[in-house]
Amino acid sequence: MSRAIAIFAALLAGLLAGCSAPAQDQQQATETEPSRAELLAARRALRLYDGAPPVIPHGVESLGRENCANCHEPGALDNPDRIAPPRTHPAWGDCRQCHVERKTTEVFVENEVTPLWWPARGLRQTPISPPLIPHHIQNRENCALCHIGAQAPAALRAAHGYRPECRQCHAAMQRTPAALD
Amino acid sequence: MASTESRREFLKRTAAAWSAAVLGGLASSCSTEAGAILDDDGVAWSKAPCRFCGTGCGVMVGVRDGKVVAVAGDRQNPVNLGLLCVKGYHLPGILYAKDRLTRPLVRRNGKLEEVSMDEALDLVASKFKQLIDEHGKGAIAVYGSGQWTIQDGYAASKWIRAGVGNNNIEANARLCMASAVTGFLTTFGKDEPMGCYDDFDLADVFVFWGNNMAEMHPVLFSRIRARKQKVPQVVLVDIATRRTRTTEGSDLFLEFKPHTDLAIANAIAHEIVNNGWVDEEFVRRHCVFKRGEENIGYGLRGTSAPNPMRNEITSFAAYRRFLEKYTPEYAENVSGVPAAKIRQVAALYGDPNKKVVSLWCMGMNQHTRGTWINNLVYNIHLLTGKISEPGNGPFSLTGQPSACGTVREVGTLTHALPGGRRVDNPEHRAFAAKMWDVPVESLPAKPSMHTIAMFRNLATGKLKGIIIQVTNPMVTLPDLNWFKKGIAEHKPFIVVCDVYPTATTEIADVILPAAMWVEREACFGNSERRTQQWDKLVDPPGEARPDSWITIEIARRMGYGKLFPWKTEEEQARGLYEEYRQWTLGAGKDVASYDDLRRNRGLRWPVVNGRETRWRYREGYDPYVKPGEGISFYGNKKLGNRAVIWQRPYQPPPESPDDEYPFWLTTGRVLEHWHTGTMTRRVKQLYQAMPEPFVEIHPEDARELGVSDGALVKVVSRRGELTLKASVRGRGVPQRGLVFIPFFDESKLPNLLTLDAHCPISKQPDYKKCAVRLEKV
Repeated sequence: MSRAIAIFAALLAGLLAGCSAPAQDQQQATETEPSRAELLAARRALRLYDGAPPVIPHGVESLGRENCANCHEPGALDNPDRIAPPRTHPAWGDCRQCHVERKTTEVFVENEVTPLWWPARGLRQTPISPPLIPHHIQNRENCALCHIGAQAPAALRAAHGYRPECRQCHAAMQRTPAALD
Repeated sequence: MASTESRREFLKRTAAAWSAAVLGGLASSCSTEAGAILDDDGVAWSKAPCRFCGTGCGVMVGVRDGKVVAVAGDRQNPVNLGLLCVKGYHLPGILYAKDRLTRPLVRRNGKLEEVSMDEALDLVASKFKQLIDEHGKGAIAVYGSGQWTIQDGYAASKWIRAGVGNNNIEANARLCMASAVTGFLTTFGKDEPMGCYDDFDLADVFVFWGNNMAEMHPVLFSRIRARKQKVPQVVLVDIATRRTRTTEGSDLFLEFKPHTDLAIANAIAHEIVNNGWVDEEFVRRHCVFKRGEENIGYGLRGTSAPNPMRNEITSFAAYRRFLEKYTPEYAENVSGVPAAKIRQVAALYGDPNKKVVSLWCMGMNQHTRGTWINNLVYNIHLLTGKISEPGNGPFSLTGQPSACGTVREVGTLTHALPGGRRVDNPEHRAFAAKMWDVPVESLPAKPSMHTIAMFRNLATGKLKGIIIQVTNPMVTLPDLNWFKKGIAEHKPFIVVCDVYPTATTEIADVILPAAMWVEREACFGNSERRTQQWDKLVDPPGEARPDSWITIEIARRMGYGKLFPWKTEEEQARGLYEEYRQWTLGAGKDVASYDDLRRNRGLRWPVVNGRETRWRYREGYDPYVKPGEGISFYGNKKLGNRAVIWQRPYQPPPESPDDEYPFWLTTGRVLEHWHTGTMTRRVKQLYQAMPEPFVEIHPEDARELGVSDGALVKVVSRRGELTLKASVRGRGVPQRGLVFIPFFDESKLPNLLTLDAHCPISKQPDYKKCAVRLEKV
């Protein structure tokens, strides 16, 4: 497992060139394990906004990695050599209709979009209350993929992942469907 | 209530069929309720249809501090049930590129100068009036697009027809949907599909005719994949000229030589007729046979041909004799598709126990025999009676968000009036005069110019002025050099309303900044007859305004203010729509009321008594079919409410490869960019995924030419040349002897090479076929 984390950290280090993390969150970082701030910064580097599908940070067509499921199917991480994050939503058939490869770092025209980023931590009523889920859960309803077990990065891993129903204590900050009508 | 009804229907059928298949494998914590959206502090979420293609996906738009900051799929919208494609997910980026047009610009002494909106509008109105005074009513024109909202299109049509008094209105949908329209009209007498997306959850066989649905309509392709996942014996058939992601997802691939789909469709009909797979009762009761003029030419400059609409009624016996020649072996010889594969597809269509949906988009429409190939696919569905019922039907896809809702339904083509009416019908003109409160004599009875004729006239000095809204003809017209040269020589007065600088704003005398998408309130109509409304969610930048507002302001300044009594933008959005709606009621195209649209995720017309229609022409589904009729193709009243089975022969295209130009060139799109790329190239993630166009070459052809992937290749046609990087074994692989170039990059224009030949019935150009040669650079 430690090898996987080491590779993951190395990958993040590459992604994070130019990003700096708030000091208070760096206390979690160790030599090999990325901090929550680093993980969030890595998320941002790959997305237009929180909830947008991440771009693919590696070659696909050029590297013959066209079968995404080989690495990204939930469970593929059981192999310690795999460092790829698992798919968090249903398989829609063609991953690349939402996730596209980054083939250049240039831009055509600068863009001044102000993206939505969720808070790094969920709100707590009191210091010992369970935090609300700080992020959008559309297409990420399966908490386990990021928060439970060895597959989850240490900084996001729940200390009590053995409990069966996450959302009986951690409420999503959501509107009711009626409000969306 | 319409909303309750549609929600209940959606939950019962669509959700059961689709989401159960797709979401079934998800962990138990999956929310089955709609709208898993964060109620983040300060973020307000509202519904809107996506800005891009004709699918009409529902998005939830997140707005904070007056800016669009995120979107999410709208789970309550039955079109997409929460899924979007990469373009849809990146919608927030299209509003905020740094070079957004925010102030009106006027070209003075060759330079663009900022002026106030008032000054720009005064200038445009006075110049238009001057051109009319000097050269007559026909001196000016308006050219829009399938991205015009319903309100924009209606305002433009009313201004030019009831105000100026000419029929000089066209839209870029002529370049993308016209053959589908004429296909529907010649076969059924009424435009637009009889079925809807619900068919995708119910069919056993899907046949893609020249349609890379996986890249161009990805969310709908996912819906079909979900069907296949649920019922593994479902068969997907890809009939195409190149291998694409659609081919990867299909079970059967028929690679045909360009333009020979005509022969393949007739061979499929031949097999159906010869094997006794005809639904004889259906054909006897609901169809007639016709033969049309066959010497119709290709609409090339300086050529003429007999009226392509001329036709005569024939018989099943005559049709049988016509088909005799089209054996699968004949079709194999013409198309290169093995006869056995053609028989296999014919057997799928002919199997009475299989429900079949045929799908197409530009491959069949951008075709010098576009109307014919649309007719031929309808023939197959009519012969087998597989039409207008759940899971069975031909389905014409659209590429723009309101090609259907605006261009086809409002009627922003020279001949068209709202509700399927025509300017050359005296009764329809009388209705128009009443609706618009103008003398009937003031409405000209003749259609004037189709799009290619409009730009030919602009380039030859016959047309003096034009206003162009939400489209980029200086990228999308075929054989561009010819048009550019003529326009530069004759200097017509050109006004362009747009959101970013484009190849078309480069030729503009006045540029007016437009409000886009959720910067204004409006409606779109998608491919399945679904009209969708959205509210204004953010302010447009600077002085940018909706196209309909701009048209109305110009009209007022020209003295036609009486036509547009609405003051505020909100009043205009509702007023234009509700007035337009009056044209549709009772015409078989009844759109929902504005209030119903606000409450719903769109409704599919005809909407009668608040209920939408999923399958037209069939009793029990379509309120226009009377009890006891069963099926009624009521668009063809004169034919006894019957649909037409057409004898349409295979004829070769006007330009084919030869010794000098040995390759076919076909053009098209890619997943990441939408149309001419003016919006999508400005979004970092989309641009970085597809930074430049390419020329896709078959590996064997590339080897013979001595080029590898990424090497520069010059593509030369009789009309122009273009140098691009070769794509060899990329995501698409063309057949030998064919190259493919996408058209999203304004600096690398495949339309310098294309031919302006078009379907003589629809006047839609064929961007899919011309001859080129390749040179290693």
